[in-house]
Amino acid sequence: MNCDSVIVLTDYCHCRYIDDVHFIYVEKTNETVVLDSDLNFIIDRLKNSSCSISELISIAKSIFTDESNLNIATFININIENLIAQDVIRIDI
Amino acid sequence: MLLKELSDAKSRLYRGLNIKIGQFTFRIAIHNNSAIHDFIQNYSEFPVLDNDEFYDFNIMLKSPSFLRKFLYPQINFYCNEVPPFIPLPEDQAYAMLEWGMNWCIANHAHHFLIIHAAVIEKNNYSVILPGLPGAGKSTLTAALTTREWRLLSDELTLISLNGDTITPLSRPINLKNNSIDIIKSYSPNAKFSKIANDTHKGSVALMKPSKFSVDRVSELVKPRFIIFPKYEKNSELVMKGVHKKDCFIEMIKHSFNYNILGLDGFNSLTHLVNTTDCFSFIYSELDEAIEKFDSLVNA
Repeated sequence: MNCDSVIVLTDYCHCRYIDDVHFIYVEKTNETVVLDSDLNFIIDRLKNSSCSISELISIAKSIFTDESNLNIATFININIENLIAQDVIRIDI
Repeated sequence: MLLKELSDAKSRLYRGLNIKIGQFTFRIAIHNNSAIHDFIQNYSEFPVLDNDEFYDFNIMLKSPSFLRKFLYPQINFYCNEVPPFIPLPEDQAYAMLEWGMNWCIANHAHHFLIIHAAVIEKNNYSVILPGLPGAGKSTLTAALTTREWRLLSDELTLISLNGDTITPLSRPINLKNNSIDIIKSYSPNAKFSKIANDTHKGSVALMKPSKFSVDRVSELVKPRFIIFPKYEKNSELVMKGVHKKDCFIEMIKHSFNYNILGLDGFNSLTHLVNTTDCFSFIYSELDEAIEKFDSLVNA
């Protein structure tokens, strides 16, 4: 995935915190998604505005300091793809 | 006027009678003497309305055919003249009526988030008791309601779509198998319907709700606790906190209409879970269990 791609929360995604875990209801699919708490920062960041993937990788690097840069980039890319597949986020065009 | 004050209750129930049960009005016709007897006993404190008043559900209990009145007698439940279930043996008539009434509410009252759970209240503290069949939810509920706890519901917890209030039904408590004798000996003054044997749930009897629960059926309550009960023979009493995230997932599993409500269901349930304390509860002795519940609300 292109690191310059900008992502946003989809219009049909609704997020609520319970016990520091994001529960996300996706209207389009009528599914409730439970987000791994490691990914909270992505949703929190996107709640404010759109964001590029490289920016998310940069935030992740400041959180997961023990991980290698390569692992972090892979982690973000995989999870972004998953969240797109679940209609939680989309590439902003 | 209350059902118990009607001198011609039996014939009115045969022809069709409007009765108000919480926020719902049922027009009920019963063509079975035993079920009429049990219904009059268990709903004696509920108000009867004029027959020209609006009703939510038009239900009827009658034999599926003339032949089935005599040959292996059967009974069937009709909602708006349509039978949603297959017929059952005639001696399960009253139990079938109660299951049918549950079905009507669970399938139509989508202005509530409906959870398969009992709910009780004392001192303005409500406790929602979700439980899988056999968990001991109804036994515990029945015992609590004989010890000054108000019954809001035994089967269907009706949560407002903003997640802020619970609407009572205060209908009879459905007890099964060993629980029937346990509660009969625990509360000798409690009244029960005739036992229906060999149902798909085993032996079933319905316990009459307390008068003070029915008198206060219009009083909504705020949700305060969600407690997942489990009866375990000879176990120590254990009450442990449950993570709200786990509680939320469990409550989705216990909901009848979460998926139908979509975003409303999500908003209602997240608010409910975020504003209540959640526990698991293992018990074996009813007195001990009630003492623990009392300690929650007497603090």
